[in-house]
Amino acid sequence: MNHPTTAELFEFIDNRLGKERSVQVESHLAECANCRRRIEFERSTRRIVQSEPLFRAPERLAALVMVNVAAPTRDPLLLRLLSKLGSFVAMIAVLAVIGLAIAKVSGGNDQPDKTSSSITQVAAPLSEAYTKGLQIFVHQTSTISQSIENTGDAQFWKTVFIVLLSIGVLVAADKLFGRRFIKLRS
Amino acid sequence: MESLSDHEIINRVLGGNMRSFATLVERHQDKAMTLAMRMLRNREEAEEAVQDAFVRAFNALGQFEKRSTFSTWLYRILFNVCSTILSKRGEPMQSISSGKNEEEREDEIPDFSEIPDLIVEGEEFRERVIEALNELPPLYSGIATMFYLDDLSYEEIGTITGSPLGTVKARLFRARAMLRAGIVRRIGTKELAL
Repeated sequence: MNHPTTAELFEFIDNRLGKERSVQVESHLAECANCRRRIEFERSTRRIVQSEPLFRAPERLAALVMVNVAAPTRDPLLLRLLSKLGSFVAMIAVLAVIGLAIAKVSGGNDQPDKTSSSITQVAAPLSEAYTKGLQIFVHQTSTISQSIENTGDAQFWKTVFIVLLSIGVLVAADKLFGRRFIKLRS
Repeated sequence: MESLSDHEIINRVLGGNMRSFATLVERHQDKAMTLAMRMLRNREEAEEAVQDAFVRAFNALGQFEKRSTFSTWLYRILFNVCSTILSKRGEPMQSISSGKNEEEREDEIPDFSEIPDLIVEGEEFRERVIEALNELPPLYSGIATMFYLDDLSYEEIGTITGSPLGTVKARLFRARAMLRAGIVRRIGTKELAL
């Protein structure tokens, strides 16, 4: 006797068991009174729970909710557009930061003003605070990368370091703006 | 207003007609109350949880993306509110009450030959089902309520509880197995007549 397991039986009742196994279970049920009773038991339990009266909410609930709610909450159009574009803008910003930082590291520290200006242009939509953060970040990156330079494959580690820091900046910005501008999380 | 769909009402609310939200509350309040009562088993706390969930839903209505139903979205908020209340109580969501050893193993084939044929239709059987349901730990009681009462799919329950499909299936199996074991134990002890 190939009795279905309890899990199979539940899935059979829920119509989620594979077709082939469902056919096997059906033919088994035709011969097995115990399994028919198991099915009947589960279906009866479901019927009873479904037919049980609902708990009644207080009659004044809707009024209480309406007293406690705030003003209408639809975000302004600009904010919704920013929200939609947030991921794209963030990605561009990160790529720009990585590219500029690599260029800066490769080219040395002889053009700090040019780099700073380019970052400001790219990161401007993400607010003044974010821009300042990027400037500090690039400055710190070049400082730290100089100290790494003496330890073997410096160029590789510089790139890894910059990428990790960029991700950190993006995640921090996401947390700071609470998903309003940058939708990193589902 | 009664004939409008939930999504149409939400559009009205977002369009500035705040009072329309009261219709949504009235439409979903009893099912929400039932879920809260099954999880919290305390009327006062359940009423507060439901009210809190509706207020949160209203305040976040602009973020409702209409990919799911309003009720699924509301349940998710309510489930989280109830979880927070249980956590404050110091009561873990998955704590096992009286039926710790009543759970069936997945591959176990229970013997139902001792249960009379007609017993599953009687009034006493109904009472035993509700007793067993009320004894489930909050998490499993909530999941069983959503599954049986609202006929929600595994996927919808996963959305509400924030769990992957495999976890939902495992928890739902556990809830049903514990429920069934609780009923069988009661039938055995009460010796129900036909």
